[in-house]
Amino acid sequence: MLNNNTIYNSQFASLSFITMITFKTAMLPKYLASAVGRDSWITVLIMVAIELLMYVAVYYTARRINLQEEKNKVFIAPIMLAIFMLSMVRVIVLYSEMVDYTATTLFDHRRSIFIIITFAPVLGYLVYKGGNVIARLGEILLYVVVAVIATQTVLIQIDLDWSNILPVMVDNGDKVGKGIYNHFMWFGDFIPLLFFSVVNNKNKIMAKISVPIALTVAGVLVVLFFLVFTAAYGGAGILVNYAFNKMAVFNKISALVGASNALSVTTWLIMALLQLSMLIYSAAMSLSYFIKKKNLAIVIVIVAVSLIEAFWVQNVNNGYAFATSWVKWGVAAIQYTVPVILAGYARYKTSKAKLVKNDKAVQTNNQKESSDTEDPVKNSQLNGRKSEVSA
Amino acid sequence: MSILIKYKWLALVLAVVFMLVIDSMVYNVSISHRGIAIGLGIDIEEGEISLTAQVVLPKNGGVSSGGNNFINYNAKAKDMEKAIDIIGAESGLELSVAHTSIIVVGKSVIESARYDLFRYFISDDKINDNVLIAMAEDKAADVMKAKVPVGEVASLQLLNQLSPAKHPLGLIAVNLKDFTSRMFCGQGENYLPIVSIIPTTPSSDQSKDKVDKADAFKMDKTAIMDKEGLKGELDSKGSEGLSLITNNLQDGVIDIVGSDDRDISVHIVDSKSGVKYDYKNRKYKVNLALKTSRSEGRYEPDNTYSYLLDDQEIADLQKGIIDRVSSVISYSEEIGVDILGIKEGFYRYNPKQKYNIMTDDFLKTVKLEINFKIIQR
Repeated sequence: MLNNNTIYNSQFASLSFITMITFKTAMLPKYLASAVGRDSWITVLIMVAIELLMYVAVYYTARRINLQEEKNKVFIAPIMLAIFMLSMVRVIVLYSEMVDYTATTLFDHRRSIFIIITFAPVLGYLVYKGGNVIARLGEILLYVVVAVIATQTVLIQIDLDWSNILPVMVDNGDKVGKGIYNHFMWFGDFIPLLFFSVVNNKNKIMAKISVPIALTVAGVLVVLFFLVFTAAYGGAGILVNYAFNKMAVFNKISALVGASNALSVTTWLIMALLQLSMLIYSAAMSLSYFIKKKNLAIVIVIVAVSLIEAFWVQNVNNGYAFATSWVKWGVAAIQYTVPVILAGYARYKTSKAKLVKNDKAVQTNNQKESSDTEDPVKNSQLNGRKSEVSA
Repeated sequence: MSILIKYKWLALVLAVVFMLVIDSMVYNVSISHRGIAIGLGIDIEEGEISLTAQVVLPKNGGVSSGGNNFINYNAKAKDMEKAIDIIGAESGLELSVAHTSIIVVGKSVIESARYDLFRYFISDDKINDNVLIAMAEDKAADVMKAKVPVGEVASLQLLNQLSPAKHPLGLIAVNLKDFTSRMFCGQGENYLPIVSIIPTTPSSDQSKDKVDKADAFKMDKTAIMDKEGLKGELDSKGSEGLSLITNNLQDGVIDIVGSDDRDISVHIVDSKSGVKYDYKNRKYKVNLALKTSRSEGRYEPDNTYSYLLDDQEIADLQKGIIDRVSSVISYSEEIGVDILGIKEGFYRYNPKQKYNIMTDDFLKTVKLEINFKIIQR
């Protein structure tokens, strides 16, 4: 039986895959179409490459230390505080997208407060059940996600004008840069994974390939999605909310039965819930480091997030304004430094543990040897063997 | 929380109660109180939007036989939201556009360049971006009111004609996504199929209802517009050329005049086109792959019955197609609208030549070259 936050490589891979694609295929295409235009896919390519480098540090850490069990208060306390702040800010922004999506797409009247009330216990329950349950849910969901993506790809029927992505990077370099630094909030989503501790799958092949395959596929899919989105909508991308939902209607089934995006609508909603539960999990776990009560920390985070969403953020536009305010610099600083610092710490701890282990081994050997020298019979035998070897 | 984990039945009961309470609070409208609009017609009258919504009445199940299960609601307002609201208030139904399959805009909409309406629809989260768009020859409301004989209402009839299994020659189906994305290219050059109402014989169903006049739709012309509004109409010959280049043709019969003045009907079973921009030689190159056969067979000298075109007929077919595509380009020059987006295409592939390409007379310097690949069925 694995500990509450100890998961297998394959589960870690599933969570990474879902984390990487969920919120990048919702409002981000519209935001980047406005900020960058036809070169938005280049912004995404750069950011995904950075994200993958960051992932190496996160995975390295999760393989070596269990953040929730670390005792070095002087080092861990500021890290926990930084993670708590980052997780809360990211939850506030991304939660506003999910609430708005549900309110506008699934209901006639956009009363988001009821949606917040409905999601709160669901998220709370998932976080209460802990990392194992979130990871297991992610693992189960991955099959559905892959099936939906495969179905949509096979049945796609959409006119794409690939010349919409041309010319590439002509008089647009500053916009690509602006697109990067204004949208840190939608990249580098792997911080919550630091709260998971990874062990190898029993299946050795799965243990080796699951993480690299999941990340490569997710990275390629995200960049491809932006290319297809630009080829499909061109300059009109600035008007398209929830890109995955709008594009899902372009398939052969739609011609026969009308709107057929129910598959992607529901799947995305569960993916979003899962990613938000991971963020709330990391916020709650980092808070519990200070208040020492996990359940209380979960309740505090859920209530705080719900109140902030309902009475302060209120809609997705305010969420975007908040995400692109000065807050983005804090987010970038934390999300790109914390994994590297923790990876360094994990390396230090591992090498220290090795040294201790080696020291212990040397000590044991020495003790053995000294006890041997005290035994004259053994000693004479040993000396005899040594002399034989030297002869 | 631990109580709920211990007593799972309590959690289930609470969940059910919670769902019912939330559901009653979010004001969900039942299906019988929804007006499902299958088609919308939009006109501009005295600066205001005149919205005609063709609504299926859910209480009757939406079966069209008998012709009384659809109703046209109309409202005038300054903006679309208000017009939809007025229809809701007057009909007592919540107007739902999630199942709308076609939007017909009146000539007045394009003439007055009210493209904000398309921006409204594409930004809307409920309407699908694959909804088809057409322009009425005159008023959209007249199209919606048309008495079509094929046992359907106007919206469904238009839908059948615009989205058959294969697009016929000269019929250009345009959806909301494609129309809106072209609005953002170059000078907003765009096109829409024109819906004309023509008289026809009533169907047997209509005769039973003592209808003495019936309408049919003809869509062989194409409206041309840019960001300033309506610029002209491509005739049926030009529309055929446009449909060949824009890959809208998948099946159809093309009538050509042979070198010996004979009329030949060629069945184009399938076509695929690709475009290249050769800036150095100022050539607009179209690669056209066609699957063809004669519409009528004939006896060959060896007494076999064949649908194959002979070499002369193939040459005549090529000439007929070049004429059609050339007519689109010459009409573009005539009305000053780059219908095929040739300038934008040259710029995209040769961005360094932007200032040479984006001139008024660049289009005149470009030569058309069509490379044919004809496969006989």
